Amino acid sequence: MSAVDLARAQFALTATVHFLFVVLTLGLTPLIAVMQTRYVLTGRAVHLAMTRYWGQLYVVNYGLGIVTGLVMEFQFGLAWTGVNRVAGQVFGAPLALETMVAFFAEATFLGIWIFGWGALPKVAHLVSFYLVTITAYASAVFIMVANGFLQHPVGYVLRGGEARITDLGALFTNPEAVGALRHLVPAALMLGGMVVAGISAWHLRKRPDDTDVFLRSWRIGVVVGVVGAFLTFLFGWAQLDYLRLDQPGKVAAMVPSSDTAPVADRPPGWIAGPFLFMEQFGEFSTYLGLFLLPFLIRRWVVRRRILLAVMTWWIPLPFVAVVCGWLVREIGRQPWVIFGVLRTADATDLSTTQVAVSLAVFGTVVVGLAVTNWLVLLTLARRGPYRMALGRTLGADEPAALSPRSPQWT
Amino acid sequence: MDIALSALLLVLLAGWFVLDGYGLGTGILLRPLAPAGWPRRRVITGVAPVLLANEMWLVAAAGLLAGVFPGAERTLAAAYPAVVPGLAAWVLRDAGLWLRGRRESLRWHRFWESAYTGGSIVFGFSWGLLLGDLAVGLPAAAGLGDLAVGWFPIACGVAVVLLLAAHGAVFTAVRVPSAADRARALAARLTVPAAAVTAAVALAGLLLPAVRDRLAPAAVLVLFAPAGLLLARRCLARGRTRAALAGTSVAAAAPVLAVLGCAVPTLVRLAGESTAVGVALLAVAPVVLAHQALLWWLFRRPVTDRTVAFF
Repeated sequence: MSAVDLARAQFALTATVHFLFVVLTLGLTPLIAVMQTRYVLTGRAVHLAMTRYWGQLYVVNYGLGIVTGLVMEFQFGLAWTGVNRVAGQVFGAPLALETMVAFFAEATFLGIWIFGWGALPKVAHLVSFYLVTITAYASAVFIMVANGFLQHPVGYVLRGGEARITDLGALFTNPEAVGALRHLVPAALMLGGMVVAGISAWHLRKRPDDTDVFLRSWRIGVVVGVVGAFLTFLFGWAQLDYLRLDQPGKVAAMVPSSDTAPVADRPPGWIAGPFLFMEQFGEFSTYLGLFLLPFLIRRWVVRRRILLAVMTWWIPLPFVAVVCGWLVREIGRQPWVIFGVLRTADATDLSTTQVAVSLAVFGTVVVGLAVTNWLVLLTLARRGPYRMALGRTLGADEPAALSPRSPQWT
Repeated sequence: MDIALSALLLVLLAGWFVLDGYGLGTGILLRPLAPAGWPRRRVITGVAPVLLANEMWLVAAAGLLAGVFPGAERTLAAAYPAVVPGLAAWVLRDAGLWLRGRRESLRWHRFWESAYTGGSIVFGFSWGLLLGDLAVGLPAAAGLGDLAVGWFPIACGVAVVLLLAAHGAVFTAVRVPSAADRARALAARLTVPAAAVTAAVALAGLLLPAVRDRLAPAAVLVLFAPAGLLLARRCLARGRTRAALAGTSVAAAAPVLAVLGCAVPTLVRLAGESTAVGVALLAVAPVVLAHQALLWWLFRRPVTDRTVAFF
């Protein structure tokens, strides 16, 4: 394998794992914001329990999103020196704005949210989570602008072999960025909804008499999941309109039967597979959602054991579908790293040994941590809203000999 | 504007060394700072609320490098042997903190605490390597096997680890009362060796022609490292822990300011051309400082049993 192949494998691995965590983060934040808002408005314990239960899953999930994101950010400078040399000024701009404008604030307010339970006034604490939600989505915008540039470079001029920004507005209104965001945002909500509904279904099946937290959560999950699935499906197909013009090779590989003229630089044909999975999943999810709508009434879903089991086993599917989406988008751009400007083969000048060492190091670390984190999430999810980690003070766990007990969150 | 953006980069990196240096130093000294179990969890809880925000200083510096100084970002690839282990160690350090509290088993705690400590040591050491590489000029450092030059980045690595350990101990003494006595004792023991090593490395660097060629007035700043550490030692002896923290903070920021201060002319030469991006980044800097200040104000109180823990 050449250095380019190894660097691609490393990037594909970290990007996939990163996205699996990030998409759940994006999907859960708005749901938790709604739950906490209801708690602040009503003051009822059930909404507090929901916020803390889903909040702790969200926070544990967030950690891996950050560390895999770090590995990705540095790979642009470490491995993809060609992208940096040719388009560093353009591609780097949205990344720089993302870190300074969005990510910095997101991490700060998340710290305030995690460690401000009980210490901050309720409304201020809620505001910190709104800021986390807004900045999380702002991050997604900047990242998709950077990715959109790779797919369809606009707003730049090549001078002396180096790209320079001529129109920052064009970079941000790139159809490849805007169109993809319209697809990705509902996809994240769909996934968040399906995860919430699936985990809630498990609890409803195990404890059909204790439905306070999980019947409410299940309803929110189903509604967000079905609306998200429908919009994802809709905006997914809408992308084909401009893809046919911008990247005909990608469309030809995705839908082999389509009558697009053959093109010289075609991506590998196997992306038709992930495309088919994604498309079928979107369709079936919409049907499942419509079938579930009557069960939103009263307590009809409780004790529907088979239906609840299906919903729990459904959880991995949206993750597979969103990874398929990225495979179609990124593999479909090949053999270009910046479409029409720079070929992937010319995008790195590192030696094979260097990339192999880095792949071995980061591959082991990233996969090991991802698996560990999922197991932790599974344990936390199954424990239910008891002995919750989020918002717990030191004194709640320490033996009484060490510190006198003080009033506690339970 | 290129000078303002270079200054912003330096501020972000110096801020990272001072603030996240606390997390790293605490990680390096985690075992001696507190016995396993609840006392150690208190020490970690001192770092916990500010951890995420602190590491963002470095993330933002990397973002700024990518967006405004793409040419300089490429030098990261030249410093591969320092950056790859550093990045892996960063990931391990974060994972150690993030996962430690998630199961109530002693083996689990010990494993992730080791990841935190090991990650902190390697991360700090890699930063020293990188600064040493930059001081001797990267192309030369690509051949680290050359013993005439190769010892210098390694010595810098050792100096940075010692310096951050002392800084972490003093920070813990301020933030975690239950561990303050041990932290003060550790800090008092560490400041003199750390000052001696940083001073020795700084002076030894002058013996290298590669370093002398690159010397600029900013290099004098490196002397603030031993000076800050010795000042911290005096303050600790008089029981003024907060003043000591000011000393180690100056010391933590000094090496990166000295090395990159010398590189500012290069940075300005490598800067990108987009005014809009530069203006946007400079405009948002005060906002970042404001929410950072808010965070530190909110979590200014020392750790007690009513402090929220998560790790």
